[in-house]
Order: sequence, then structure tokens, then C-alpha cells
Amino acid sequence: MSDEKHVDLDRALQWLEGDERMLERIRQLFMRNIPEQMRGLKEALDGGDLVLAERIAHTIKGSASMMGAVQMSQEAGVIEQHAMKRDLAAAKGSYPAIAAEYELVMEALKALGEEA
Amino acid sequence: MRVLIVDDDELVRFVLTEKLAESGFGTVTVGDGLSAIETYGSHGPFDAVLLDLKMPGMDGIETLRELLKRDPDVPVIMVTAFGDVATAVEAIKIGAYDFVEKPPQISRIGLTLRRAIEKASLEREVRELGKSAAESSTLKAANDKLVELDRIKTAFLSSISHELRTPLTSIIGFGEVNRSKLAKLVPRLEDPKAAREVSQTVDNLQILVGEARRLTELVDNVLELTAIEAGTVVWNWQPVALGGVIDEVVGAQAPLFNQKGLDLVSEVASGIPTVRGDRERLCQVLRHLLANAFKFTSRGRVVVRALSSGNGVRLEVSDPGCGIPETLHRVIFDKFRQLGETLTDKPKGVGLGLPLCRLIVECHGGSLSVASEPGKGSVFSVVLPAAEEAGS
Repeated sequence: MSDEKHVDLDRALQWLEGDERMLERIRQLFMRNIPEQMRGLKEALDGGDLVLAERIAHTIKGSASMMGAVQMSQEAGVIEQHAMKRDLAAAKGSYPAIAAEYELVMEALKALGEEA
Repeated sequence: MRVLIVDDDELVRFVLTEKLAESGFGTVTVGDGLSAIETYGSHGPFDAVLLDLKMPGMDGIETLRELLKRDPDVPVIMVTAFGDVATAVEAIKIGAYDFVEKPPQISRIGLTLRRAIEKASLEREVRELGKSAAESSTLKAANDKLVELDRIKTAFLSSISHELRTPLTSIIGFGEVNRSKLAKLVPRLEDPKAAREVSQTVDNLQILVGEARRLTELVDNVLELTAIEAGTVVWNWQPVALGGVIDEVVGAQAPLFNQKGLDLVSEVASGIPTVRGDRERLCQVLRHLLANAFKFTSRGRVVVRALSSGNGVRLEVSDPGCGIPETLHRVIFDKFRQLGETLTDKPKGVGLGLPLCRLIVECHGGSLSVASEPGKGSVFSVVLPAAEEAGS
């Protein structure tokens, strides 16, 4: 499948112990929540609020990991680290990578919804 | 059982709430440490707390300290990022009961919660017995030691069971080969005395092989029990129609029952709900209950029934066999008693089968019980919750 690279469903299903119904529900929850988180992250970085940016990046890291969006989770982890070290330039510099990956993850998840 | 879930990730809160509800836990969820403290004050006490270690604002360690200040007895289980064992250990030193790694394996969390709640309630009982502070702390130390020993025992049993299994395979294999070779020899022996003796040896070998098989089954059960308890078992959760399970197992066992002059029949009510479970393990439970019925029944009819029961399914195996005195109704599910009696007394059943069945059923969020009287047969009942309606 083309979305394998961005969303690893097997990984998500593993910790859900094979519960596909639950997978579908967290897919919907993820798609509902993450756009807002991503907007928040952008605003926090633009406004130089690294405490807030660290918190949001941490949440995105966790949610993406649960959803099987491994790459996106790692990108969020990078921003979290920079924000934790209060390195605004580095945190901002890492944003385009997660923004790009985010688009691909959402696309893949949306396609999954249409499949079902 | 009420559990407070503290996690900043909505996905985690959602999944834990849903999954724990399936296993019979009531949950209250909050997204940060400060709300956790407030909620504990306004809605507490809880039977246990699942606490995320890494949270923005008040972090897990700080929240743990505050919670324990308010309720020193509540078991707190930390949910930690993969690989963050150092902080998890710090949490345990402060007083957390245990930790599980993210993403949280649901069946593992359910077991850990149950164990934590059981331990906390035991400790409460100890205190309520009115022991003096000194006595109580001695008991607590003894209890902690027992918990630690239990962990060591689990690890030990699991490694020794593998070692036990290998030689048993040789014993069964060679025993079987020798028995069949000797059996073929008997008719060719001219000396009747020699023929009698060899024939006796064939019978003895038959017993040897049978006992070795029984021992193998016991060892397998030990392995499975310890693996489930240690949380290392892989469950294959899926929607399961119990009718199919019954057809499969009853179909396979019926010839054996007929050979012994027993009837084996099944009655599956129409419209019973599907359950969510590990199909192979549910078959295993039914096979085991039937094996018991087979052993303890000399004539009559063994019935496997499936019917709707509340919000679930009741699976019954009833036999007209010798029955079980009430004093033993608890003991037969108790793994330590079973193990002890199997190894010392003349054994009747394969040890640990029922404790294993009960553990498997409980991991499905169900229960296993017995109704029986000596001379009037036995009914073993498995109650399993219905699977939720499948989504679109």
C-alpha cells in the first residue's frame, strides 16, 4: 500500500491487540484533533512560546506514535527536544519537516477512511 | 473497580477508557497532574491510578508524590515512554506500585491493575484487623517479600518448565517405541511364562507413557499460566462465535466419549451474541472442561450448552459424574493447591487445568464457576461479555 511509509497500521494494531474497530475510532479522533494541535504548534513557534511548543510537540509525538505515524512522531520528538533546550531557531527550523509529513499522514488516513 | 486515568494524550485516554470498561473497570480521565489531584479530592478515593510519567506542567513524578500524600495506600501504575526505565524506577522508589510501557498493552494493564487492587485491599484488611503499627509494618514487609518472591517464582517456573519438557519428549518417544516392539513380540514367544512377563512389561510401559504425557500437559499448563501472568503471551483477539467453538471441540471429542459409553451433546441457543476473544484459547478452555467431565463421569450424558446471559453468553458444561464437595469448590481453581496435590497425592486430573482456564476466561473479562454436589454431577459455567457491535 502507498500509505505504508507514513502510517504503519500493523504497528497501531499491535498495541490495540488487533481491535480494528478501536483503530477506526482512534483514526477519527486523530484526524479531528491533530489539525488543531499542528496549528497550535505553529502559533507557539511563531510567537516564540517554547514552553507551549514543547507541550504540544510532546502530545503530537505520542498521538502519532499510537496511530502508527512513526515518521511524524519522530519529527515531533525533534521539535520537543529543541523546545526543551529553549532553542527557538532549531525548533522553528524543524517545523517544515513535520508540516510536510503531517500532510502525507492525513492524506493516508483520509484514504483509509474512504476505503472503509 | 474505579480507576483514575491521568494522561495528556487524548488517544491514550480514549483507548484506555474503552478497553478497561470492557474488562469491567469504571474510569475517570483527566489530562494533567493538577486536575488529577483535584479530581482525586473531589471524586476519590479510587481503587487505582494509571499515571502518565511525562506530562506537561506538573509531571508524573510530582503528581505521584502529591497523590500519595493524599492517599498513601492507592496503588499507582506509571505509564512510561518506551525505554524510560530509569524514571520508572525512581517512581517505584517513591511508592508507585508498578509501571507499564507505552503504547500500553491493554491485557497487561488489566492484569496489573487487578493485582495492584488486590494487594492494596489485602493491606487494608491487615490494617483493619487492628494490628499495632509495628505488627502491621512487619506484615507489610512480609507481604512485600512475598510479592517479590512471586515474581522470582514466575521467572523460575518459566525457565525450568522448558528444561523439563525436553527429556519428557524422549521418555514418551522411547517408551512408546519399546512398548510397541515388545507387544509385537508377545505372540511369538513360545514359553508361556516369558510371554506373560513380557506382556506385563508392555502394560507397565503403557502406564509409563501415559504418566509422562500427563506430566507434559502439566508442564505445558505451568508454562502457559506463568506466561499469561508475566504478560508475555500474545493474544489473538477477534470476534468469536461460540457456536463454532462448540461444534469444533464437541465434534472432535464425541468419538472418545462414545467409546466410554457416554453421550456428548451440545445445545446452542439461537441468537447468542458474538464474544471478543482468542478463539484457540477459548477452544482450549472448553476442551479442558470436557476432559474433566470425561474423567469423572462413568455413564450418562455430558451436555455443552450456550445461552444468552445478561449482556453476554453463558457456556455450560454439565456432567452427571461423581460431583465435587463444596469445600473443594474454591480449591480446584487455586493453582498452588492444585500443584501441591498433583505432585504429592495420587492425582486424579491434570494439575492446573482449571486455574489456567479461569485465568484465560478472566483475561477475556469473564468468569468461570462451578455448581456441584457429590453424587449429583457438576456444572462448570463460563460467562463471557458480548463483543460490542462492530463499527461500520
